[in-house]
Amino acid sequence: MKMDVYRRQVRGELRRLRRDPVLLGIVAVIFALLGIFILFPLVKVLQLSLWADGSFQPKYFLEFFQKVYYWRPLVNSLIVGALVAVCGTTVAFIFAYGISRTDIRFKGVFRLIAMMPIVSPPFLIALSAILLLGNHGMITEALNLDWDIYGLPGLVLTETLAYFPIAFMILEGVLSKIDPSIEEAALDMGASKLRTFLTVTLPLAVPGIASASLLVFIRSLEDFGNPVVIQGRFRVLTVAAYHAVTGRYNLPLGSTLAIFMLLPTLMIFVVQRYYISRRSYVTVTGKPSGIGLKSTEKAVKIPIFIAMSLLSAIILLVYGVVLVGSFTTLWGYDHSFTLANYAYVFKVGGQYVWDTLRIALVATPVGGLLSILIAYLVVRKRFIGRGAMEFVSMLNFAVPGVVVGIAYILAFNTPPFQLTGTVFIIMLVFIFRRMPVGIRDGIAQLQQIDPAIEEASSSLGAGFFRTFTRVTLPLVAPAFLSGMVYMFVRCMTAISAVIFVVSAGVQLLTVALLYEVDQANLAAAAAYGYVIIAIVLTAIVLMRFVVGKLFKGGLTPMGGE
Amino acid sequence: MTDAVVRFENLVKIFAEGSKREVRAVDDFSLSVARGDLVTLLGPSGCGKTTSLRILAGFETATAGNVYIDGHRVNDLPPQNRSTSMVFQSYGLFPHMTVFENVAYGLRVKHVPRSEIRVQVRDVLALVGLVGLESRSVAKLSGGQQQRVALCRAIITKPHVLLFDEPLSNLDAKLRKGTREQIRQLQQELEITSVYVTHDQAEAMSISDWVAVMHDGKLQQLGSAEEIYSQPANRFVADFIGEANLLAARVARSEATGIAISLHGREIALDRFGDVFSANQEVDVVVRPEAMDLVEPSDGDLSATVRFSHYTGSIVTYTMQLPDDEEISVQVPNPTETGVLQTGQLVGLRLHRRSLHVLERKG
Repeated sequence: MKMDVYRRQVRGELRRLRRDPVLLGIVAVIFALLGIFILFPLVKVLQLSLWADGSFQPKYFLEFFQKVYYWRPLVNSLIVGALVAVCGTTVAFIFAYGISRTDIRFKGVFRLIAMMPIVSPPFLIALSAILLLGNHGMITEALNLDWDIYGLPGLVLTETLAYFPIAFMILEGVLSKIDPSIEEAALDMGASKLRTFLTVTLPLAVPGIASASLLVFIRSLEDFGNPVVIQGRFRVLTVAAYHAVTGRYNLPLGSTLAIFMLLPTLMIFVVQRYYISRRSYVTVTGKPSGIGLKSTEKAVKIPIFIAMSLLSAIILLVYGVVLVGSFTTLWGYDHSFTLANYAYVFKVGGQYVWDTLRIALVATPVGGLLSILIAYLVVRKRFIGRGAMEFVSMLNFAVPGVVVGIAYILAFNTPPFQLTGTVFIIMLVFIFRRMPVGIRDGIAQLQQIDPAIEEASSSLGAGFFRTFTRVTLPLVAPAFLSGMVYMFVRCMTAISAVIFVVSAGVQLLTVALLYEVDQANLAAAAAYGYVIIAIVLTAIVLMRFVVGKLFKGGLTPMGGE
Repeated sequence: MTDAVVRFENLVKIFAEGSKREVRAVDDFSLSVARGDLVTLLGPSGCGKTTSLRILAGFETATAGNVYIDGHRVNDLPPQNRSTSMVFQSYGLFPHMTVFENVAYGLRVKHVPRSEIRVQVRDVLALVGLVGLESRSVAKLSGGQQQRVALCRAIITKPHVLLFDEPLSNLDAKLRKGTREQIRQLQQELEITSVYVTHDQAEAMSISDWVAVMHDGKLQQLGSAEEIYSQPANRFVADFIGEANLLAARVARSEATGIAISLHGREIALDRFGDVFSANQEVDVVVRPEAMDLVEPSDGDLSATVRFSHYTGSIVTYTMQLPDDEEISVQVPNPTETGVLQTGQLVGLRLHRRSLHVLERKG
């Protein structure tokens, strides 16, 4: 009985796909791409770590728990991740609460400062930490301190600053959507402000806090740039895997470490996606009245304002010192002003700037279009494997960059897909690693557009292609373009996955930056950092301008009441 | 029926089939629409009317049964290849295009020459009085204007079947009436076969040639507006179309010329239903609130006590209690002339014989 129903459904689906050959073709191509560039590399990782000489030999799996040298980095990574999740979410909550639920001043400035770590290479913060707190750091020398920033303190400090903005964005969204009238209802019934906060506001924000901290945890776990600079003797998993692959050429070991990195992130991905996201109360609250608890008491406001100011000062100091560093002759010894570092960057690194830009400029639109196409198919079309398409295309959201890097080396080093050493492999890494965010945003966008608009198009005789290009794309264009900026920024600042696939022929700015740090050439590294920041800011400003020009007044999708 | 432009044949639509959330939205629904007719699918939300319409348009696929347009089975045809056009509840206008571009869209898809498009768009906008607004962005139009643009966009391609999905539900009450008349007028002028979905019975009755009342995915009754009101096929239709008192009764006598029903101990003779009901059959009598007169308690077919009065100016509606505690709703027009009855007052009700309808009691 059940089988019959199923068989009939499948038959119906096939019939429907057949009557729309364009759709069928596109679905097939996307599945092929997802298979080759997402699943196949991951399978290779599994295969290499579990099989040897054609038989099942999980050598390193068995050794992993026996040798402290192998399992210690995992434990370290988890410790750092947990600490960074707690610290990052706390800082983010203070910022989000201050901006969305109080009437403090300079909200715009605070928000701008909180977003700064997003537009810069994350590990620029590690560089800054060394400039400030390292052996010859500014603060170290000024206060004549004797400490070691390398290791756990440095990791927690840098990653907290690098990843709290992600949590901030989530929490701001959640907190600003909590209906003030719910809080007012609590106050009305005689609860104090503190009690209202503890029994109403905070519980409503719990799902948001949970997803924010899990996301920060994942980001910390998969962070490569900061640890490689500042981990010292406190070895974390990403760097261990990197050294296994590039230092010892032990790919099976690297793959095994990659899998141990993948397990926790994948688990969190599933928990977040299928458990926490369903417990969000925010969407079911009543109509937001728009007027919040804006007149906050001084006793609340002042501590929040002070905390936010302090944190902002730290962030400004972090970026300021890198900027100063980039104009300094030799950090720690000779602090005289020089432009030599930038001259060096453009002389030695001119090619890197060009390569990075070129790759990002290709990867961004291709990845953006592919994302929006997948989002469109997932939201609007019914076909067999729709759920699978969504899952696989979002999978890389949970796969740490180091794992992707290792997987791509394994998958594309030999025929049939020999791509190592080419620019294409770097582009592909960018495209398939950044796609999940694009797809997620695309899905959110499309869900806000009345399906009747697209149905009207097909009802008037337009086929799949025409409807997509003439109706869907123009409607999502503003969000699509802003999404592309984000993608471009990530291409410019990424390091963890691409460091595995760059080659002598093609170099990236971030990799060059890391190389200079490695050579203790901190001033040159700082200059590289600001070149990246300049490019990213230019792109953001340019895109703002273009979007503003093209979509003046904005588009408001119309729909029923 | 050979001249049926649209034909649903034993249509079934099951959502989430085989899962716990399985819903049988349309259940063995059959209906034919003749050329040039406007048929309304009328029913409460969830009755399957919109689903049937969307299956006809091609946005949903039927689980079982067939859909024919112009005699051709279209089950597997995508929306763009069907000769249907839909006017959506939310209008579905392209917000990034002007009025002209919206209306011209269907012609552009068909590669109609530019000059021809300009003429046709002008003509169709003239029909609804929107000439001069061609270059406006549709987002800047009023709700009524947007509605008319949507209508123009749908009719310009000369579809064989025009589909309306609650097109007036986003307009305010006053606009609704005017637009309703305009749609009907255009539809008759252009002789476009139309299927119109609504949950508003007044809208359905005033606009249609035929009304198809739906409930639980099934067709309950197909008839003219007059038929479904005066001769409802079952309790659901009687109750859903207008207001109805359903009074339990028994057939006292049945002859070829008519029947006599026994209602609250009194007999009422009717000059019809002789071929439908036999003696001693249990029935329900459909009594419309407006189909009775207030008389002296001793003169009425029924005697009743006023429990509650609801005065709205042009009419007064009473909720009255019958001797067996059953409630009955009674409407009296122009209360200014007759005065409003006091709560607790005993009155007689004389039923209008020709307005009475009798239904077989089931269960």
